[in-house]
Amino acid sequence: MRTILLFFLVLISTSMHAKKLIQATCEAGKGCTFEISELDASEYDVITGKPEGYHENLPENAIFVNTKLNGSWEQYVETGMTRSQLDEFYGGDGFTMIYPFNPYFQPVDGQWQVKIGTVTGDICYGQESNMFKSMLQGMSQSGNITFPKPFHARFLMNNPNVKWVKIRPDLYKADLGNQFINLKFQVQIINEKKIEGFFTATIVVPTKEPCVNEIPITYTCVKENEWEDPWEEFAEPNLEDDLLPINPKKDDLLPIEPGKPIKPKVPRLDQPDIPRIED
Amino acid sequence: MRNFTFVLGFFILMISSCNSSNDKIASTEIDSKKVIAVIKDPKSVSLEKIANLVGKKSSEIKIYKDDLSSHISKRAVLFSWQNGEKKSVKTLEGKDLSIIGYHSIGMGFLQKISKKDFQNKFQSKTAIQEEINRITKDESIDADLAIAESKYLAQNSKLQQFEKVENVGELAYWETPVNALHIYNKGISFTITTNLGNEKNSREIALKLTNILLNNLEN
Repeated sequence: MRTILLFFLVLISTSMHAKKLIQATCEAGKGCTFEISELDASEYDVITGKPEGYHENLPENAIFVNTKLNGSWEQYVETGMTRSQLDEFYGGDGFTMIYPFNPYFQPVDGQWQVKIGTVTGDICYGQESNMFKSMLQGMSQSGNITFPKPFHARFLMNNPNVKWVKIRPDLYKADLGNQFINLKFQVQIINEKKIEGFFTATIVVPTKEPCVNEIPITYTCVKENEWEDPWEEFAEPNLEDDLLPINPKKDDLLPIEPGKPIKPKVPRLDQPDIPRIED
Repeated sequence: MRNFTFVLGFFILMISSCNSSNDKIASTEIDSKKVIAVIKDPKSVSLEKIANLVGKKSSEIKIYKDDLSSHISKRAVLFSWQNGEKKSVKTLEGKDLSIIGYHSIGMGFLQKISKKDFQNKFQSKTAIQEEINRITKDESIDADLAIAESKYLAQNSKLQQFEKVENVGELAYWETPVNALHIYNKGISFTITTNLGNEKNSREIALKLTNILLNNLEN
């Protein structure tokens, strides 16, 4: 009976554990870096427009490859190569590891500035100030930032109603709204010190043309936090540290009282508890 | 005829002595400063020597410094070039792509290690199992990552083979199928990597590359 129960428990836990994909970011002449996908395999079907179950049913050795060719990102699924072989094909040394986050697309910690750009588009029904711009100013992160590792765009604009989706290693999208107001967010990591965002708001009023506002946002790192030099481990030891002070200071000397023998203040063990070795 | 035999003998002796100097890397030649200098600044290495070694023009060689990891032991440098191979893939959007292949040689994975631990990595049968145990028990490592990495290590260990290489530093091993030379000397270890397809002379090139890189500062 116990065995049957255990069998069902294992079966249930296996079925509840959603399948993740191994992702590779590959660049010609540099090899590949690997990470575990943040999304479940089934969520990739939605992003890539593939039929339901496509990614879930990929073989276990499948690698979801992101590669930049002629300036644009391309994605394909590799099933004929191991991690090492894929890395070598792109010019790597064949030694691979799975990074806890994608090091290529991880913004640095430090002082960041956020600049909300000029609103372009329609003036929606006579409004004078742009409410979306004010909303973005309230939601955006700035100042001294320590980014979560792995980075996620939700950190920049955190709202429980916004569902962020990672489209590519460098690109995130989010959607929020209803049939009357639709808000779209897009965040792209340009490099470790620059992130660009784009916000599109569409207001739909029956009998009127939809009103569309577009607002660019730029995050720039103005001062990177200082970090420990990892090469310090290999620095030459400072031999002077091992030497005794040549000129002892006053504090280093024992107090001497006239007429009394010099006796260091060291507690003595009258009957040391050390077993004797007998012949 | 006697003269001819003497000249031929001398010639063979010269060739063999040349070869043996390439196959030997004395312990005194290796120090961490030299290895660090290359990993920190691969541009300091003579591209002409690298190009000559792999039979390419120096303009064809790309230099890549992999310093993405905060751990020195994961960092490496690469000298890579197009190898003429092409791979056809179909993207998820349905586009047909042709991707160009690359070859490379490099150096990296410098770490402080004891001779015994270095030896265990390549001679002990339990080294991989210990690494898998460490990953799976470490609660700071994401569970999905630990499972994927452990599976990979287990599969990869079936392919990995190590052969002891004599006369290189204090201790050295040649690893296949990745074709890499792991060298230990005076408390440090590092790896010379080669990605030259299935070329049989990968090991010879690795030894020559070691000599080029370790003598880099003296150029």
